[in-house]
Amino acid sequence: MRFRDLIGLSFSALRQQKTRTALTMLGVLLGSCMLAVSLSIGVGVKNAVRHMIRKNNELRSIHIYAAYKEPTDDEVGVPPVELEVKGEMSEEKRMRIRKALAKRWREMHSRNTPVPLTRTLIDQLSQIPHVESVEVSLWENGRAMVRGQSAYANIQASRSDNTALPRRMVAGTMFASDDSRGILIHEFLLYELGVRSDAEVQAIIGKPIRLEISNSGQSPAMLLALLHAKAETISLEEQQALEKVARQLPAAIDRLDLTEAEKQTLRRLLKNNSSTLAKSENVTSVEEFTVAGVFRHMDRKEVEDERILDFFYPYAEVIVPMRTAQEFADRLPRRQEHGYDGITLMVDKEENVEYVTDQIEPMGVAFHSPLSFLKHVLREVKMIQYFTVLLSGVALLVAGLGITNTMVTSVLERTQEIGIMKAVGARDRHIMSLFLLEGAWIGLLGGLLGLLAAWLISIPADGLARRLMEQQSGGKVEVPMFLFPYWLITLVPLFAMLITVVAAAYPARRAARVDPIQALRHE
Amino acid sequence: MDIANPSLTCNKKKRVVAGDDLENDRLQITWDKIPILSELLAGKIGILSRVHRSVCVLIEVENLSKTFGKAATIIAALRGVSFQVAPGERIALLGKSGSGKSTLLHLLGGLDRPSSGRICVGERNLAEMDSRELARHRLATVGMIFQSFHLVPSRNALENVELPMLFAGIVPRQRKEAARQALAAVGLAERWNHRPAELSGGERQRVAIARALVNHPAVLLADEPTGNLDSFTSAEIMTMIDDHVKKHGTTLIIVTHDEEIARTHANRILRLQDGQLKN
Repeated sequence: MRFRDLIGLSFSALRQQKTRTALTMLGVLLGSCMLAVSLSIGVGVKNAVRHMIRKNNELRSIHIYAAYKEPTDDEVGVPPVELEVKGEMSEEKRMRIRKALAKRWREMHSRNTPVPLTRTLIDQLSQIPHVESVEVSLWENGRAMVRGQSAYANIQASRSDNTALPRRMVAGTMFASDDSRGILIHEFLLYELGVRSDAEVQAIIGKPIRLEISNSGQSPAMLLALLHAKAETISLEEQQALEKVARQLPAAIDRLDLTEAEKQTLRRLLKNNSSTLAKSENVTSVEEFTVAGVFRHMDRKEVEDERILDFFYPYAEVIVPMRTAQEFADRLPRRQEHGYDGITLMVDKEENVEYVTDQIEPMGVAFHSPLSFLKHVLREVKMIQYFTVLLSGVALLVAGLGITNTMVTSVLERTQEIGIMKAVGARDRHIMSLFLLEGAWIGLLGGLLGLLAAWLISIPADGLARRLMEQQSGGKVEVPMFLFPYWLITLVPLFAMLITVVAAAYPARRAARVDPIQALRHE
Repeated sequence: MDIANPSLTCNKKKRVVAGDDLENDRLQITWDKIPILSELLAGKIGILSRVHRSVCVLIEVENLSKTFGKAATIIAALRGVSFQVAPGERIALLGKSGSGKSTLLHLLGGLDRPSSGRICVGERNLAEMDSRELARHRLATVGMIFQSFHLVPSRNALENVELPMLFAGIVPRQRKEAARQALAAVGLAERWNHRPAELSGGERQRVAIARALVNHPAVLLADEPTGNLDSFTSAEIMTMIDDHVKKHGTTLIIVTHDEEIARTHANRILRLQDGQLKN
């Protein structure tokens, strides 16, 4: 028998039972639709997340921060009396308690300092294979002086290839290189410095600007955090008062309601700090640059767009090229001792990020890689997707059981027809193929219609999904949330067909085994 | 014809291939002439006697038994039936209801398997065939007509006639042409697109005849083909069958309980009683 004839015969058999076929197919359609929607949104979300994070080569970057080393549970050096475990207990528990006691003793008796992000560390990081570049993050509160006027300014470093800054320029241009002497200044800071009219702003381009940063990076406002007071909107007057408190605190220890031992501990602590501060608090780094450009504030939309994509602080008032800023800040003893605020590594290829993070881990610093974040997010998405695909699979299986049931009934109804076919020369194989093909048709058509339904659903659902994703991520979603790649378009109908063919296997086998004599007697 | 001495072996040399393809008219004409030729020559030359046997036996049934059921409820439908049929012969199987004549016909048609004994149609023993070979036998060697017509209700007359050719793998154009010719031969050229429910009993049986003959089988097996028809239509149908088998030299085995039909349309009558052949 020709395969084309078999196809025709099976199709015509389905046409004979239009309502039953349609109802059976409806089950397959719903299951396939669920499957297609699950897979499609899964692919779409993954793609959207990847797209958002991949911007500005973020996936190749690793952000490093100063971190405290976790105290060890090593017993060496801990007085034996401190390790004494009391009470009857299992040996395993005794060991666990001993380790916990050792760790607590270490926490109490050692000064836990963060691993600073120093030049030495930067050099070590640069030596790691596959590291393309190492950049430091700098935030400094200092003063800017233009035409004899000065004002407090938040100074930040930036790479010359920053993509967001050029869009915000209102005068001049973005600095050309990371070691340029040209810097960018915020239009409002200029306004405060008396450079107000458009003509004055244009005229300031290329003119000198002096920046001053102090070694005293600690703010007395931090005292407020200790007292759980509101520190976000501190005024200049309040800050000056707090500075006085901080200066008088060592002398005021004696007047406080403390034990003699506590007073001694505090005196020792404040003496240590004040001695280093005393040496360097007045050290400043002052340099003259030229104004390369003037930029405006980011509007709300731009802040939202850039929020998770770029670690750029949106409230900077002076922006200095990366290397120039580094050299400028390196003059401060604080930077030499405590290092930088953060480091960003750029790895040559995404696939090498894991290797580089493995190398960084023993250095004791905290790090964050957008790639690992992406992997984490994608893993979560995958888990949800597994669940929804599983549900769709169950729906399809239920549809498959419906097909088995319907086709068994069909075999019973068509027993005589099967007998006739056998009497005129049909082989068992022909009959079996006929029923399997009927199952395949239901699966294929149901799968294709399910796919179509999923696509139709995705049109209105895409907007909704984008809004949800934008609310969750804070970034703008520029790609569709439902994707229908070729593999999905192929897989869904094929999978539905596989399920229905498997479901049709039992009735098909039963049909093939029909005894022609019995079948011809069947009414 | 030498059919009184049943042979113990199947005739290996004879070739009844009408069903192997649809271009065997020439062969079938040869079959038609062979009995006459062999009758002339039989007994005169020894070697020709053997040739005669080898070409003159189309169907050879030997000690055929068929039982249904198990143990206590066992029923013997056929008990040691033996006979031979020459090509082009028209045999009537006569007997009362339950005598085993339909069972015998089903066994000859390869729809069922014997419990013991042999049925050789052409070169092969049907009892030894697997289901695939039996299907091939039903498709190519025999054509069957039933009392209840057994047409597929959802398919029109043309499609019903096409059915055996569909399983033979014949291309649609040839298939449809052959089916139209077969329907024209039974006088239903104009009713080709009518479904069985839209046809009378006689017309349905004519469609069934067209379907049975469309593959040009060597053997036509008819199970009470006029059982459900009035006398006028019965005569019409029998004439149609007669005309065809005589024209094409097709071997006919017709099951009937009607003595008149048996005498008129068969050149030999085999009587079955309680599963055994009566002289």
